[in-house]
Amino acid sequence: MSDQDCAIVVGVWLYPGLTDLSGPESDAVAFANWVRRPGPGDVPPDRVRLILTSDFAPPPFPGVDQANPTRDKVEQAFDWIDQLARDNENKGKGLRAGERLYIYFAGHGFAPVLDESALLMANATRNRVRYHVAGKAWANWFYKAGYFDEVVLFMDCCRENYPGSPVNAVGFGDITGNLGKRFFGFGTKWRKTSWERPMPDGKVHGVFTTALLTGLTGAGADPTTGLVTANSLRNYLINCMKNFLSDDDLKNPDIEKEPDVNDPDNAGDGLILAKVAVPNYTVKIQLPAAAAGKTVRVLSSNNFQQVASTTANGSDWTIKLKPGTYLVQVAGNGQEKVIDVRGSEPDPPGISVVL
Amino acid sequence: MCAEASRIPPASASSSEAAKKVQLTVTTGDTTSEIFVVDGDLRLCARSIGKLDTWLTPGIYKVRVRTALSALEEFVVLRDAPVSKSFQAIPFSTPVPLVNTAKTHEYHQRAAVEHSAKTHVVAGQGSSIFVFARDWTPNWEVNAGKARPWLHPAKGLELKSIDGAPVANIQESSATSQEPGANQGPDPWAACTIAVNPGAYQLSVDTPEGEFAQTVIAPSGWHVHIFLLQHFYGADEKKPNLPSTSVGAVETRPDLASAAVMLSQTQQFTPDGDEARLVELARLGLKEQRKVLSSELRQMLTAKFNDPMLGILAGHLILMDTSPDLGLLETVVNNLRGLLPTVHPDVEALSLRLSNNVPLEVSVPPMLRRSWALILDATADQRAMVARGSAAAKIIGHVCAVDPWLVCVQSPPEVAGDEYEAPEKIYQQALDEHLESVEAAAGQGAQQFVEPESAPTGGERMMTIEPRSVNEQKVKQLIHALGVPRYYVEDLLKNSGFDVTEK
Repeated sequence: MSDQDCAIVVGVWLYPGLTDLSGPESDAVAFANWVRRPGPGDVPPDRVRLILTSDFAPPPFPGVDQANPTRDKVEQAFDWIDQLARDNENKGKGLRAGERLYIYFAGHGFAPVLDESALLMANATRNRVRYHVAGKAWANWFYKAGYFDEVVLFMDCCRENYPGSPVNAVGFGDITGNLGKRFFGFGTKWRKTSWERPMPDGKVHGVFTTALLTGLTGAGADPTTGLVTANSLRNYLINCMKNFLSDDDLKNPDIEKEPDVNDPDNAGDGLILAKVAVPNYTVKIQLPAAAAGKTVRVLSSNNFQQVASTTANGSDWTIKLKPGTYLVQVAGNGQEKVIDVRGSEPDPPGISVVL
Repeated sequence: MCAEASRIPPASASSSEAAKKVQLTVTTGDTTSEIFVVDGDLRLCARSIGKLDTWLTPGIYKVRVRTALSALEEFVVLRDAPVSKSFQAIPFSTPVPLVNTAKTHEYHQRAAVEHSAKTHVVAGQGSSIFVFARDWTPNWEVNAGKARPWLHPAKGLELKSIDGAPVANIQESSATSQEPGANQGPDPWAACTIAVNPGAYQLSVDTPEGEFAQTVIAPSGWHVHIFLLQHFYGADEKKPNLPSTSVGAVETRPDLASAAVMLSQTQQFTPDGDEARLVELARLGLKEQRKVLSSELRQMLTAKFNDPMLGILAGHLILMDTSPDLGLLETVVNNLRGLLPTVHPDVEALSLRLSNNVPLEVSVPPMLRRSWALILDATADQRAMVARGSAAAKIIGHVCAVDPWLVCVQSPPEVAGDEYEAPEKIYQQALDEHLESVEAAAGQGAQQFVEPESAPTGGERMMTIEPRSVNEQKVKQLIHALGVPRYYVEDLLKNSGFDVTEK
């Protein structure tokens, strides 16, 4: 949240040599919009490099060799950051480019070596996976070089079984600076069929990015402070990304239900991604006829404090609740039910609970 | 992690705060099941593997139990009395037709039991390799009335010597569910037991995406059991307006990358074996990079395990820890050496993480990709050496981006617009790029102009290439980035005019 932050956002969806995707461009645009929005991401627009398939009109491309964006387009964005750092060094401000770097990649992906995640560029084919950008390696390079205090990497890349490849060169030499903090999120364990799907807005989006943006815009905030931190976002993604999978995928024993979210430097609550007004979600509680005239209470999860109450009158009870787990209780008859409010449902109609 | 969790029971805790805590006990049906307890704000309060015993402040918590990719969740309300939750073993996806797994049929179990006891091909003696390939139709397809046409589940499967010579055509030699009197059902199966001489083999499958292969080690006196489900190979989208760059029609073939491999001293497969289930959960833990080594499993590794594959997979799980228990790894390696009569490349790869090793010469590719990574890392400081011209050397440039098996693609399909590029060329380009970035950063030029002392009349400048060098640290980085052994990096460096210096 500073005018010293930078962002590189890439969305590739047309692959003449592979299968095309649907979500990466709109997902990249949505992430860039979040990054630029005053308040949450707050990165100055001139410090955001957005690289999209549609920048290279007119798709479809006549062939693999004409497909874009290619690797060099992304590396030019990294060059821009390197130049920022070198300009600052020349001004006596040290070899630094800013406070936080965001890197977001969406498209086809693969793991060239065991601990790497790479984005395949538009001209990649099954036999030419060397046309890739190694996201984790680049993020780690900027971290090690100390160009930024914080490096945040999100990769939403579907994964197929491609032949391996050497990892492409990253960085601008062996530079070691002051080490800051990293926060990495990977939605990279799924094949295309599960990795993106139509979402409630009617458009196809990546499951991981949908959960990520839902988390960043409020559902992943600490309900007390309104801060979306590395810690709170990680907890949200690990526990709630599954809410965005299709019912079939949820039941499929071959589908991973959690993303990889790494906080390798224990940034925890110290890395603040956004401060938001904690959202309230609509919850409709259908009360049994036997509860008529009785007091119905909603209790908090951590100390059973009363959050809301009503006297059942035969109709549904609709209330607004912050994200959390609650106990709904009918006083006097022992009826109770745990409800989990996470903001993964469209609002309205919100969550419907039959007590 | 939420602050409330404690493993200290109130009786032994001194503060009044601790006395308010309530005991939560969770048990699971699998010793490798991961258990997570999160509070209402999704903060992790406690975690364990296999079973959990913790003390928490009163409140509402969610208990999640994860076995492989399957998970169950339940809310618990902790008030003033201890709460116990018991989770049965969760069915998970595996190609082995084990009881209580997500993709099993009793007729598959019966067929595997029956045919693993037979010998379908005699290609040697002293060991055997049983291959059971099958299909499994998801319920939603069954409910939708989608019938798949019968396709041989072992289509394209072959057993070869480690050098690539044919040993058995599994597709042609296997018994199948189509035979009269076979254990039949909607999902087909094929079974083939090959009696072999002890040694290293390749299991290969010919697909529209090329021929994939992986090493199978058949130790003397042991029987290898391999189980395979199906995988879709080929492009899944047509692009009529573009030049053909796809790899052809979609077809199913056995899925090597997700194979299950077990070793048994009994030839016949047992579908309700606890250790077989454990081997599979260890493989899936490794594949998904989950920390599934419970204290019970660690204890088992120190005492006794019957299937060497469990030890090999667990050895890699140990190394996934931030601070690996190398003492336990040493015990596992020693146990494995005691179990196996001859050298196993994966066991020797694991031993490379232990001290006091003699340099290891590797000529056979290991079965696991992580074993290959250990070998490559060890070549950096010459604790291991990949023998030139060996079967291990021949996989360079062919390793697939899958985990946990070391699967290689042997002959990529030649299709218009996606011509195969020789690995040597790809690696040379990659190496040159890595070196260029270093030189660019250092402000060096790859080529320098010099004034020769014996310059011809007129002082004409000549371009010469100065001898250049890279240090040991850079060599190690290159070995990791390129995923090749040291000798290969040194050859590439030499081709580019570089020497390796000690510093």
